[in-house]
Amino acid sequence: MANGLKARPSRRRGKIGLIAAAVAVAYIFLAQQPLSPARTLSFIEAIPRPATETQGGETTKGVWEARGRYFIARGDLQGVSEVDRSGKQLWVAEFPSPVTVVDITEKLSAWGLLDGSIHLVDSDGTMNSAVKPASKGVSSRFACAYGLALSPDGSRLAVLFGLEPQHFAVFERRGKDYRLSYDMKLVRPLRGGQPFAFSADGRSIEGLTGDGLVFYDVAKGRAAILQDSSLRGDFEMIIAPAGDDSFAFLAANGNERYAGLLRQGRVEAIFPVGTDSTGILVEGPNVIIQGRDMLYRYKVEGR
Amino acid sequence: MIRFLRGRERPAAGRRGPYRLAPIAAIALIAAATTPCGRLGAQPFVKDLNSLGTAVLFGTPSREQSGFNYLQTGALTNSPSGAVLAVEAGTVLFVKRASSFEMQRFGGAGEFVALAHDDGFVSLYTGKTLIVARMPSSGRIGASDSVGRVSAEGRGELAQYIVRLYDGSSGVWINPALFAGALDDKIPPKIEQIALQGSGGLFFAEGGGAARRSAKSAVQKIPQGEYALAVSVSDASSGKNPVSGVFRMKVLFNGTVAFDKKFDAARAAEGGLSFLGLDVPSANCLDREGRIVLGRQFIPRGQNTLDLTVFDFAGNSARYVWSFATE
Repeated sequence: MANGLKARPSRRRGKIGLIAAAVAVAYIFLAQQPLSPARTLSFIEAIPRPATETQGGETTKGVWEARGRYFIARGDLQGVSEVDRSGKQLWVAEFPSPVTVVDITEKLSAWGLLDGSIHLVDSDGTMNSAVKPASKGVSSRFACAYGLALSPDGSRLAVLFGLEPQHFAVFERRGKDYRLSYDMKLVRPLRGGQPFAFSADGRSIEGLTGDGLVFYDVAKGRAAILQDSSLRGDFEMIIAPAGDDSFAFLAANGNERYAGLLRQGRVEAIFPVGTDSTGILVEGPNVIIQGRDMLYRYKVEGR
Repeated sequence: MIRFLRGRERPAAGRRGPYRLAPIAAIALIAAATTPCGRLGAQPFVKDLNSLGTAVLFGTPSREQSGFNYLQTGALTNSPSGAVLAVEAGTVLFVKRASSFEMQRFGGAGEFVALAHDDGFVSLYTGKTLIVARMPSSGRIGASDSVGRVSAEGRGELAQYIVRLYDGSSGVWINPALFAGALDDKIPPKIEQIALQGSGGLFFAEGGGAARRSAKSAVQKIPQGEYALAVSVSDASSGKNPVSGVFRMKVLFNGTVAFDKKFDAARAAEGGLSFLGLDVPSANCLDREGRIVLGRQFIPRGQNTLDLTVFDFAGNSARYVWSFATE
């Protein structure tokens, strides 16, 4: 009797433990799933590429287009000018060091330099502000900007910065200045310009680091690194916001090309595309892969 | 400021100047003054700069078709073997390679590589034909290791690249000639034009071949007032020697030193580059016609003399004396 009375609480504790474990497993499983249905890219059509294709990237020789704005780089990459569609110079700027990475919004342009500083220029060419991560607590032995993303409203700035160690850092605008709001040290540094982008709603950032794809949630103020088996090795990538919270990407690994979708730090779609694929455009719900002679149009859809 | 020595002597370190060089740069300058080849073991050393076809471009105006107007900071260097050699041991800081997605990359197809050195210097290598080498996984490059290859653009042409040096500890771009050893340049620079621009108008004296002869003068009548003094100078190749580049411009106004400026370094500031102690950007050093602006000078009534002497880095000089009456 005495033994039976002692056994009951033990059984209860066992059941409670099992339930707690099941809840924990369910939580861990569910936490990995997006709140909304996964998305994929559905092929729509392939059309011949117009001879005067001007969206995204280099248009006429030396003129580079981003977000409907046109820029020309100085020969030594230490200066830039913005021109209008007719080629008329709107403004010109000189920087203390060569440009390594760039991001453009409608009203601002951000120029990351070899000396690690980031210069923000208004659409009329006025210097808006200069951010030096090293002077804001992001310390590395060598300063240099390797990746750059500016939020659509210009209120946040993400940068892949420095060597020994390399950092992924996010800055938030406070008045005229940008203050550090997040800093993550990375283990494996990259030494070339890397793709970084804010989502169209400004709530997340995707970018490529040596440790893997980085996903930053603005609301939570947290970043996660994704090491996807399909995106491993020495590859080059471009990332463009697609929809409110997703990103389309094009990756090159040797002669192989892959396109796909990223969302909330996950690869939601990935598929091979033509080896002549040279760029990616996003038009509303459509993602367009630029081939040498053709444009391949895909639609972002829920599964 | 570097005290310039006439003839074939090397520049030495001093105290005054439009800015103060970093201690490391000062040490390098002292070394340049005291060693035959101007080299210290731990300092950058720009190789292959002392041969036909090489040219120090630091301070040379550049006018690009796209509308840019600025002063250059590099040196055009030969590579007989095609290898682009590191100026000293360092860490690979940045590599820009030709992209699979060239259309969507700012800055075009050109490749470049930058090395960060332990003494605070950064060296930068660019070139139209440069193909950056595969870098070691450690990111470390030894002195004289190859960081890339260049090739001749056409038959009979030389394989060349541009090297630039940045002193990160003091925030200045340094004239690569300071780290190139002795330059066998025997051809003096050329004074093309001296100009005075002010409320009274634009007045200039053109030198041409005669400008190199001292006491050669041109006489004009100029209204009294303050004028910006600008000069058009060049350092051309004879076809046999390297070009060490225009380095120092000294102006005596009525026998007193009015300007004494050197292209030894350019301060890097938020708004760009500051040459000759003038405000950023570097375009501020150039007038509309691309002449180098040295500063402003009040020209009083009476007989005046502007005595301009231009030196290249190797010590060759050209002089022009401009005498004029002011009303």
